[in-house]
Amino acid sequence: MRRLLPIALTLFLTLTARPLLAQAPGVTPTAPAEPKAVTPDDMRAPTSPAFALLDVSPSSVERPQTPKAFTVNLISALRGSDGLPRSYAVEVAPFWLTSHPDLTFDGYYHASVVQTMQQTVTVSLATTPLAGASADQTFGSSLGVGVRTLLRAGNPHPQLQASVDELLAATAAIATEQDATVPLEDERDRLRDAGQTAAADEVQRRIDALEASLPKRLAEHDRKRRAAALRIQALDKERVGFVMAVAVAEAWDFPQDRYDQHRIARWGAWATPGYRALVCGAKPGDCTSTLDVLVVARVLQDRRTSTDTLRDVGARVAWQPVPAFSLSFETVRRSGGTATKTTPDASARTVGGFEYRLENGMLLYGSFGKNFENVPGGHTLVSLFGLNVGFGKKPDLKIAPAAPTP
Amino acid sequence: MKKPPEIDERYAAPDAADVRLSVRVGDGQIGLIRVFIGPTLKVSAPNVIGRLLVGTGASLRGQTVRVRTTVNDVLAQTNKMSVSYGLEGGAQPLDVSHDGEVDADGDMLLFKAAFRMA
Repeated sequence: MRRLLPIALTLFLTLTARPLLAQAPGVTPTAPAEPKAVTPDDMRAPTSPAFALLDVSPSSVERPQTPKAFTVNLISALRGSDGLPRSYAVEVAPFWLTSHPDLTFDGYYHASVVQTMQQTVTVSLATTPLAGASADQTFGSSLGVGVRTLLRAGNPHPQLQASVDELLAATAAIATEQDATVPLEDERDRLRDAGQTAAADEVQRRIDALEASLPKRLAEHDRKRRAAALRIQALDKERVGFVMAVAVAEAWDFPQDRYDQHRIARWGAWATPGYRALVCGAKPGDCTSTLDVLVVARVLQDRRTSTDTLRDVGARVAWQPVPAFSLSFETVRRSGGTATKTTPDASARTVGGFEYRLENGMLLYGSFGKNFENVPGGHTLVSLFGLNVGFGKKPDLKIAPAAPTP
Repeated sequence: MKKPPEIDERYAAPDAADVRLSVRVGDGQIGLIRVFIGPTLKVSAPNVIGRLLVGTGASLRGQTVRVRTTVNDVLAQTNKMSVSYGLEGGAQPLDVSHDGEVDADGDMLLFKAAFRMA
């Protein structure tokens, strides 16, 4: 019966933000804009810093892959609007706009710092309507520009070589079929050189027929080849070892869409060094015993609300010795804001946590520590324990087929 | 999909000269390179072949050195592919390349080059 419903029921045994300090009588809690309860993950160098700075998640981001496509895209965006286009987002990886015949697969993975920066740099640009006094009012535009790159891209995933070997094995099987035309091509060329055009044309027809039959004969090998190629693409995003990302971005407001009224709205800079260790088995995805260390530093200024420059520094360590169990610890410190100047202790968050995956899809988790003091004298304890009970995916009951309709 | 144009070049080398061939798969992709002398497969290797001795000028005269490279798209950042060739041993070295582009991630392209030895 417990597997009847394909849903999970979550039982929370939660003691969240229980006050350690009672609020002082007569103190009316205010809602300061900062410090916010950010975590190290929130502070990672964003993939698209311009979008992050404008607080937008564009549903459609243009990602041109050639200079021509980029130019056409930009011109069409400018033409489609009266001046600066609103709600436009584009992200470009300049290095990959052109071909690089000298860049080998090994060279891509064993790049110097400068080459890594070139290979990974992305430029993001976004525009949004500048909100007016009410939500449905706009009185101008905002423009954000950001740059992100990696100083170190990490080492290849432990399972990369196995996938490369698998890809090459499938490619070799395909090549054997593809190369069946080589002796015929050689014969064709000899006949042409000897002036036997008709015979050469006949051989060419045999070559054409052989090549036309290739896709059907190669289907199974091609399926394996494609799967391995896509796995290699995915593993490139899961590198291990030392990775360091940096990003900068700035956003400007253009009230009334007038250039002479432009002003800097926000700017930010991020640095995110991290280290990841992984132990993997032979099967794809069979990786355990992970250690993730992430250090984050961020400087932000939001001139729309304040002239304060916020400086955040944080770190997170996550250790997963076995697939069923993981421990984590994170700490974040913020300085530079008005609230942090008056109560420096309010600007720290330090939390430890664990997750233990029990049988039958149950997950026991918890975290404990000190949160930011969002409200002076307010709750700062993080104490969260929970049991997530899953009911499985397969029903025990067989569902009778629908009665035939008359 | 942009299929690569087939390369068809003539190359002359003195009788006693060693003719060497280099092949490189570019754009960070993975390819399997096969080198044929006439109809016979001489070498098969992934990604890079550096200064392979294919024969002397005299032994290769009248033969065609064919290079076939099956390139796989293994980078998410680009669908571009390229293969470059270098021949040395003649009066002048020969450097040629061709490129292509696949439509979808994980696709492959066959690059063909023929060097007729004079």
